[in-house]
Amino acid sequence: MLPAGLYSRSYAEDIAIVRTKTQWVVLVTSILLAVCCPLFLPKSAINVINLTICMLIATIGLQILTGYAGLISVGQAAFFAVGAYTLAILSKAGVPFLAAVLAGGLVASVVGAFFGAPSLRIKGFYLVMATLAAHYIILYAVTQFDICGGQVGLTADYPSIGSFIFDTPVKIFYLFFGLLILCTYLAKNVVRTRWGRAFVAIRDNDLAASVMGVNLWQTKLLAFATGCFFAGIGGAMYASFAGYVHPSQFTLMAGIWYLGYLIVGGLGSITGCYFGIAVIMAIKEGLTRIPLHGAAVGYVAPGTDIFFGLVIIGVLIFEPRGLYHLWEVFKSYYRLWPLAHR
Amino acid sequence: MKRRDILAIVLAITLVAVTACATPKAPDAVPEVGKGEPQRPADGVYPGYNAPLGEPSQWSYKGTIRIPHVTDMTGPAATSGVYAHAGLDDWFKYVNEYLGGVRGYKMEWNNLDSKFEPELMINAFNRFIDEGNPVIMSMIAYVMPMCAEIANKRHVPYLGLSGSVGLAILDPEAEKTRDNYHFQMSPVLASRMAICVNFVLDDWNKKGKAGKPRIGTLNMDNEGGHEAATAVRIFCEQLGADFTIHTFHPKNITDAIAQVSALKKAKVDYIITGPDLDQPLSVFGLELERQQTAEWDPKVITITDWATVYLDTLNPAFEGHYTYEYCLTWDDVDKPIIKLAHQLNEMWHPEVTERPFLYVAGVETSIVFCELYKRIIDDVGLDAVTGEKVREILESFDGFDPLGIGGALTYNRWDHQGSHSLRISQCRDGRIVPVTGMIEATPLTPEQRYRQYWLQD
Repeated sequence: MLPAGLYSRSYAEDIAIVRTKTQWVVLVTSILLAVCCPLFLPKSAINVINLTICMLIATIGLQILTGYAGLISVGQAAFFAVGAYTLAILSKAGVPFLAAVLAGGLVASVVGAFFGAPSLRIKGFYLVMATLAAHYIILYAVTQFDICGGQVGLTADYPSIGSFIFDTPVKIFYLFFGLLILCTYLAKNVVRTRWGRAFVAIRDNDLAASVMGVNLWQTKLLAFATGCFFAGIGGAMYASFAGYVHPSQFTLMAGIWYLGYLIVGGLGSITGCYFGIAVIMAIKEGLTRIPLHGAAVGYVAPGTDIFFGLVIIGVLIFEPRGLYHLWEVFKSYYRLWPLAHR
Repeated sequence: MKRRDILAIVLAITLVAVTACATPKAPDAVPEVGKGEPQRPADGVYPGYNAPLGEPSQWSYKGTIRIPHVTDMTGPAATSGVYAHAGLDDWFKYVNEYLGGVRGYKMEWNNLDSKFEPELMINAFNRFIDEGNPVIMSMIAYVMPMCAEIANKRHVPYLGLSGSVGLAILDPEAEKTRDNYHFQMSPVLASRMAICVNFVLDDWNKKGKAGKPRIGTLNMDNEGGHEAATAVRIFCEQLGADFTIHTFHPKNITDAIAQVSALKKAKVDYIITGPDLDQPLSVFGLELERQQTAEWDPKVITITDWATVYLDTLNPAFEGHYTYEYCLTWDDVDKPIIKLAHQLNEMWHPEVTERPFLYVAGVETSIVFCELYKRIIDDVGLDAVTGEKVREILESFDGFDPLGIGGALTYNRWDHQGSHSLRISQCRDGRIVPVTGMIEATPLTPEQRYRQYWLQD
């Protein structure tokens, strides 16, 4: 909804992502604030943000797959792992960081398309089981090949561009933030293309979409490939950040949490991914800072899990459409203020 | 000779004699360390251990040393993590109240629950290092290889309870090129398996059975599990036992039917397990009891998590099987340190009557950290300490005796195992009863120092 009095006079204006001057100011201010945050945040927070960025990119991929195309997947952690292993292997071979990240995305995309093949025949819960199988198959496979390090895992070097090495959290933050902006811009545009609209069409009614001429199988495969591409990018960045890849780092629970980020943030919105993952990671990290001493350990430690679960349930009860919807409601309200009515 | 000449000679002799008497006494020779007498904690008086316990005192501390401790307190290893944490806390409480801390500094653990999540472990390690901590402790941590990688990359040591050859040992090539920042308190997994196989053979002979014992394994499907599995097979072949089958499982299991059925089909007499977690061991134990018959009643020799579950539940499924541990247990009340632990437990936790091995391991770990920080304060001081310096100080531990609670700890450049001995105990009558003394592990050959050597199976 545009502010009162604002009209689109051309198709370009109509499809613009950033439409008004206010939106430009907010966007630029947000980016500047983000760029300046290493100046006032402690180094430990920067490390958390770096890890969160990697996971955010994977969540954006899952948003395209699940939020837009309606294909539920619990295997995002495995595709994340594919990207991570790809970077670790290529960095050992001396491939430059950016090329290795892109390769990580592409390899994950191909693997994702392969495991997305059953999606033509199955959907919903059955597709979830297929992606669950994909998770276990991929993580088992990486332990069987020497090139993947087997049970030992692989080390990965710090990211580098040319001779410049990103070996501190702050340097890594600026690199990752740049990649995040790129991925977000890419994802925002993917969902506005013909293919993005096809994703939404098959999500809402795949039969109707098929009748209208949308090639279901091709579109679903493309959705998997696109979603897993972002997972691979995120995984490759994660490998360079963590410095080590091992199957134990890519758990099924992590794959389920990606769905959790979407649900809390809001399905069907790229911005919702930001809300979801920021809130959940902030709560997780905040809970780890609760002091644990003495006999209280046996109660406080599991108590934090209970609290966390209650927060998630609370979000789902009071705003099942996710935190992004709350933001949309707020925006609508302030645009009409002081004449807003309930 | 004139009189003045005689006087001069007498004066000279007198001067020489006086000078010789005034020469300061040469200091006592520094005892050679590690060559006979173990290193003992520098301040030798411990109330309750070698002196009457008395009452705690009010101390005025110079400050507080907060040591980061990252462990799973929720998840499949939660029980072990909570008990270990209790042991860590209790010893520091004792040191603070009865000894005035370490060199006047109050000791505290800065605990973080990693919740069995890798990203929380990564964030925790990075955060503690960014906050300037020169050393990290991680009693029960699922993703140890990753933690070791962070520690090695950022040059901050971390101390764990156990680990694989790849973590604790530098092979001959690596020894020349890098330092290792992973330290542990106990023998590597491969060495533990050698002791277990030897125990099996002894037990078999004591029972007067003919032929060779048939041994199978159960392990987690990770590096540690595969190292343990390979080691069991190799030592069975070397020592004359009959190796049959490996079984593996993921970190969380809802049933162990496949594993137990395979071991039953192989008619194993003993099942040896490597590093594992409370949850899968519980499931395995229950399934084993379900499939046991009069003709097939194998004994399990496993990691101490089994004993923790046994003490918590007293379930007969866990009765009669064996566990290995590298320090004393709650039953060793004839040992002064355990007697002291009992006294402290009666004062502070009267409702708790039994403590599993990991509690005692926590106490031992705190003893080691007290000694570590004594050396840090004496050597460089708290303000100037770095991760590299802590590594050097840890590598100076040469036969350090942690008040007799476990084997002596020795770290050197390529061997970060700490203690090199294990003891086997049996879960019996609601207690963990030792059935052997401390058994020294055979030193690793140069070939066995390579990680890949132990990942054949």
